Amino acid sequence: MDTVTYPDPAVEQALRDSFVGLKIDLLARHPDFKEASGSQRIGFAPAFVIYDQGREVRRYIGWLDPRAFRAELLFTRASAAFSKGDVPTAKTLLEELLRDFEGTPIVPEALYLHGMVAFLAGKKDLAAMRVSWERCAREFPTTRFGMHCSVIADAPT
Amino acid sequence: MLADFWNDQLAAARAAADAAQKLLLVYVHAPG
Repeated sequence: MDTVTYPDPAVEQALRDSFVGLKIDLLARHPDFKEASGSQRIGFAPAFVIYDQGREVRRYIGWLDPRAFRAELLFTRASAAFSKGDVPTAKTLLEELLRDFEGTPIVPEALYLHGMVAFLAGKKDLAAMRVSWERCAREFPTTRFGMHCSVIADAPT
Repeated sequence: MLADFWNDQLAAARAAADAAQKLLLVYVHAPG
C-alpha cells in the first residue's frame, strides 16, 4: 500500500477529500490499537477499518491497487450514506463508481447495493432494482452478490 | 506524499474526522 497505492495522486486526492487517516503498526503494540481496530481482532495486514462518527461502516483485509482502492473508498462512502438513510447521496456515489470503475473487484457488491438504493429512491421501484440485480446475477454469478441478486428472477414483473 | 495525512493517535484522528464530517480510516500495516 505504501509503495504503490498511497503514492498514486488520485488515491491521495480521494483520501484527503473524504477521509482522516490513522496509521497503526500491527506489531508495535500501539496503545490505541485495540480500540482503533474495533470489536474484532485484527491479526493480519494490511487491514482497514472505517468509521463514520464513531460507528464502524466497513472492514477488510488485503492489498488493492490504486484504482481498486479508489473504488473501495467510493463504495465505503456510499455505504456510509446508505446506513444513515441518505439514499440520494448513496445513489449518486454508486453511479459514479459504476461509471468510472468498471472491472474493479467491488463492482458486484456495488451493483447489489445500487439495486437496493434504486428501489428505495424510486419509492419501491422494482424495475430500477431489477436493472442492477439482473446485471449482477448475469455477470457475476459465482460471487456472493451475484447469488444475492439472483433472487430477482423470482420477483413479480 | 501522504506522510502528513496519517495521524498516530486515535483521539486526534477521531476528533478531526468528526469535526470535518469525514470518515475515519484506520490503516493497520505491518512494515517490512
